[in-house]
Amino acid sequence: MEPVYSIRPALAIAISLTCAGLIGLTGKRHRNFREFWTLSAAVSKYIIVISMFPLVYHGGEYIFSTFEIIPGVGFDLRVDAFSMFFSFLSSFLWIVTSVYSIGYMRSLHEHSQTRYYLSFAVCVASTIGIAFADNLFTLFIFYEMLTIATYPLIIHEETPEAMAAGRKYLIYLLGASLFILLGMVITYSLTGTLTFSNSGILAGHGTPETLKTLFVLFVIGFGTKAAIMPLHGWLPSAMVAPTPVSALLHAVAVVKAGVFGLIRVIYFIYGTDLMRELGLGLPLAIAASITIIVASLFALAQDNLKLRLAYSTVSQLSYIILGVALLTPSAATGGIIHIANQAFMKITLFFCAGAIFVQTGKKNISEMHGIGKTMPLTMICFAICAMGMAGVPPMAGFITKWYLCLGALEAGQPIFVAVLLTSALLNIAYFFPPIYNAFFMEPEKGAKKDNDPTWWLLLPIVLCALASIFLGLIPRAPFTPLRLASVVVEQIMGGLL
Amino acid sequence: MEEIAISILPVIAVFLPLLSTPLVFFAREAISEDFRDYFAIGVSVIAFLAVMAMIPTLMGGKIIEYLLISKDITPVEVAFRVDHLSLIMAIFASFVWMVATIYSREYMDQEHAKDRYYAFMMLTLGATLGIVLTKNLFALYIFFEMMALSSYVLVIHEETNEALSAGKKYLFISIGFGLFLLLSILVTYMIAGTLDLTQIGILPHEGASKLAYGILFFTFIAGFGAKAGMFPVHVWLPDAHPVAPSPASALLSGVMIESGAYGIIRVIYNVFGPELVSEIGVHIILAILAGISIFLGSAVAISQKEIKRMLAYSSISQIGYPLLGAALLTPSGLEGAIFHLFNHAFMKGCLFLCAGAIIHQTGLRNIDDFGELGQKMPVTMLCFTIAALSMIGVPPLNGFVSKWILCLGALEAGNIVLMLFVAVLLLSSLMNAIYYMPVIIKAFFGPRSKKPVKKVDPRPSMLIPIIALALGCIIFGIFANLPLSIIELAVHALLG
Repeated sequence: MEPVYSIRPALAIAISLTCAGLIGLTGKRHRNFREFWTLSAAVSKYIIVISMFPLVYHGGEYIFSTFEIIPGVGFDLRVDAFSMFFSFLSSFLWIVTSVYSIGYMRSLHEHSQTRYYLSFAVCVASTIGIAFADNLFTLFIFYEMLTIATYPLIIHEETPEAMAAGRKYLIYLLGASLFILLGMVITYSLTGTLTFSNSGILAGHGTPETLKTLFVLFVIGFGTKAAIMPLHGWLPSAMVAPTPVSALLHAVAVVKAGVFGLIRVIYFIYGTDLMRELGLGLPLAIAASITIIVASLFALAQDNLKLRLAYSTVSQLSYIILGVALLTPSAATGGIIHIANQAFMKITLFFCAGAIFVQTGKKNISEMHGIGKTMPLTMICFAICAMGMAGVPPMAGFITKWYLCLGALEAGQPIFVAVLLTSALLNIAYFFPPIYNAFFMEPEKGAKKDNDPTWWLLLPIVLCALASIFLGLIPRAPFTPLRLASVVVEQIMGGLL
Repeated sequence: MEEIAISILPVIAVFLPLLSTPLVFFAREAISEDFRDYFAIGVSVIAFLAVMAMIPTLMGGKIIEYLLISKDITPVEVAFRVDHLSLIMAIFASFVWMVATIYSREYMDQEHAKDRYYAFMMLTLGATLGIVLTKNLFALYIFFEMMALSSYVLVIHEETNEALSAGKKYLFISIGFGLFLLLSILVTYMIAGTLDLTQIGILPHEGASKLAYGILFFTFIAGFGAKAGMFPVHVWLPDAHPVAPSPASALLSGVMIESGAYGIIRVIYNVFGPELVSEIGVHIILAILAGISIFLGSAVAISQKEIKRMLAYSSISQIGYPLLGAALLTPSGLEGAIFHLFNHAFMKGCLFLCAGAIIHQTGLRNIDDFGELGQKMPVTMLCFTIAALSMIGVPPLNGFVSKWILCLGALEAGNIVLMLFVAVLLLSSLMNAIYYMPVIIKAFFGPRSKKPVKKVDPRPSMLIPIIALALGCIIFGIFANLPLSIIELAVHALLG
């Protein structure tokens, strides 16, 4: 299918940036302004993204090109199936998170809300930019923008702890981006282009040794954002940020941007065949497996609910990496679909953690006795998504697990099935205590009854929890993420599934 | 070629209870406590009637199918298929569930968290019927996990420390071994390309080495066996079953462990096929494990003083019978196995409900204190006696018939090792007598007090369910060919 030239990709990015500008200009005057701008930008962006959905879903592409930066590399945007997958998800969840943010920030009477909403809008613009980038260079620009725009959100509380976390974050991520830059330069010098291609661009260039070294550079670069162990250190510290930030950015946008970049490198720079030839999949899969298991064990040791969720995120991100590293159709499908499945489930969990904090001021699991009895709806959603994380059917996590395990068997590497199943058990082990404390312990005396939060907070929770069930029950219904993921896999691996 | 009838009945039987869960949960708040109880009872009655309504179609030689979610929207389709094996399982499961729900109303009158209890009773009912009525292993697994998780809430209902720690053990073993099951299903899907339970043996003979198939067989057995409570993965059962409220214990022991056994039968006959199993020779090992289960359960039951714990160990022993029968790979063996599943639901259901009645009315749990109970609760103890005698295998009760058929099956096997199991069956009957007779003797023939005792048999809403199950033990002993006519068709389909 011929690519279609359209301004819509640029518009989708511009709309959040404009929104950021408007918030900056008018946000100080009244809170309603910044909230209005955020919501309307989120909705209109979503509509733009959705308007491109049908063509992309049927294998088409949208292109928007501007100027050339270096010969052969332009500041270009392109919307293919994989871009659509990521942008659809993050723009949808931006709406949900905006609603939640309003409830959260209002309830806690947070300071500096203008800065907060402004940075948030820039972050989302960068995320969409990363999704739509046509080449590695464009992707890199937005990637850096995302790193910097996240900083004010992490240090939002401005406590010494938050400042330290912010510093750690910048050191980790700016350090890592040097590796990407170096990798990009090498790639350009080898091939003379940086444009993503469905079959990869590196095949036939450079010696295997060079390509292997290059791969390590990319994995370090993108792997830091994707929190592959031992590069994950920034993520748990960044949990000092307000909960909506942890929810959208540290469960979806930022970390998934790392994963997204890595997948772009694996399938669109290297290509499936070259990856197989060089044998690069297996070491990455092993690194991912170690992360899956070790991060789950770390999660077990955390009493702070958000920290436990953070380590769970570290572990779950590596599911995605494991899936794509196995280089088989089912595994790649499982990996890519987990980007969406994990997003819905984890965002619900974070939202619940935030709601608990708003309503009771509690952060630690050991203090959350009986909250299932006082906040039933919140905790039922928490339980559903926690079970889903562990891959219990019929929630979305089960579909991921099914495809990943099938993929591991397809690849002839049953050992990874063992990793996945062990991890499922560990998931139960670390999600069981909060659920158990919530529902089967008596609430402390004086706890308020019927303590579910306002609908600003509750609606996003319920919506995302329902989505997690829906994605598990009928995952292959038309226009669902799984269908889109199949289109992606078809493009990169040829007609299968 | 089998004839297929499309019917929505299995969907009703499964989804009505599932969907009623939230309604039951909020029914008290919205309307009233009585309404919630009757609503739950009503749902269980309709589920039972929906199952019974399938009998005419199946007796007419047809199979019921219903496609719920097509292959286009899930990785593997979710469809219902009711063949004769499914039907007989669904009949007793929904019947025992119905009587247990009716019984609950009176039994639970002083309990806390009844909204949760009834809601999860319904959820578990839907999941259990789902297990036996689905067409393929994929959907079966989904329902299996659902049953495991929802029954957890029933196990820990009392929320005592004992219940909570038993529940934790149950949950982790269920989920851990559930993963074995998932693994086996995935491997099967890779090798066979299908998960349908429609043919005899979907795994091709040349699909993998004997060793690999042997391993696959035992990961399946581990997955289903853990739920069935067979040796050596029975460790959770004696803790979890007794701590639940008695009607839930009756269902855990009478119905849910049998769904594990059902899974094993499906694995042997539909996934592997009897030919492949006998080629690999794994059935002998399964039979030996089942034999150990039978002995071990009985041996430990003898030393138990607490009535519900004794009944739980007895379940470990009793679940060995159908597993043994299925492992024999002979027509009579399989027939006996399925019939014993059917009978055990009635016998063990009745015994647990009797134990519950005793606890509810007198607070006694220790068998040593059961003197005079025959005078105090004559009807309850009479029913207890009938079910216990049936357990031991006294004719003409139903337990006798299934044991008889099982013995025939063992002799039919023609293999000297398998024929030895006749001795196992006979010895175990003796052991059953050793632990059930003292209860009966103590209750009826123990030292009597001179003073007249007050009769404390429970009210009819509790007594009628008990009587219904006890009558079942008698009726299906004398008119054994009622269920056997369905079971024979099931055996015919599975063994040719």
